[in-house]
Amino acid sequence: MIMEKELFTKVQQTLAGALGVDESEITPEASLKRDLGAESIDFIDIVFRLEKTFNLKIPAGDLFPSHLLNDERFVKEGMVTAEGLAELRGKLPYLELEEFTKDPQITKLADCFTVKMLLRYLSDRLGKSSCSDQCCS
Amino acid sequence: MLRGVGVDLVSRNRVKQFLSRHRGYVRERFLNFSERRSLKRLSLQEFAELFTAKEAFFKACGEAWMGLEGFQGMRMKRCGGDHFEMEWRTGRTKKLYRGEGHFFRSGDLVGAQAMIWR
Repeated sequence: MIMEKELFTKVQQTLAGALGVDESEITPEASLKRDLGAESIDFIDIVFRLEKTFNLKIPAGDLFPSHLLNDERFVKEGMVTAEGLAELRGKLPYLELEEFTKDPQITKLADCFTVKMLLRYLSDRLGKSSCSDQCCS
Repeated sequence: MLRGVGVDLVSRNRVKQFLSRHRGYVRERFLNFSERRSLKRLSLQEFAELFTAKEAFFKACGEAWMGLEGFQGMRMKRCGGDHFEMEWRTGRTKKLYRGEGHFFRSGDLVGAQAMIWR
């Protein structure tokens, strides 16, 4: 079982390699897009690198909620509906949606893709029950 | 009536770096079946253009990022010169987008702009 510190270090190294940023900039709260400057090709790079680093396959719907956002019940006129938010919380528990719910424009959802989200997801996939505060602080 | 416009730009150097690490993954997870058949060698330029065209088109659609699944669902057709047409049938709801666009280049950068008409 991978230790939390080790997990964070590996994620830091992976993101630093993909995004060309200093490891010190990669904090748990950092948003991949807003803070670390990730663009679309970087998201794909990150997914592939994480798969290699942790020897797992990350299905598209696991980290990025494409299957939910195609559903008209969940997105109306560019905004995620209350039903959509509930679905996101249920299906993607690693996402932190507190800020997003105040102005749930679909185009702003990418801001919720944080380093912490990746840590929680990986922690879950690698067999730990949760990512503790020590890891994400 | 114009429904949406999207632009994307990528550095050839970034694409080179990306392809050198993930060429196998790209073939398997980014390209769709017909692209795998037609882009046997998958040069840096081919991938940069395909990527920016899909990304620009996706922005014009105003959809949320759909990851690799979304990219695989897009079909680009070159129409001579720098002009292309694009079609995208999204996930389960089968929403269909059709549009067109052009490529542009400047130094290390390769870009595409796409438009969708209602």
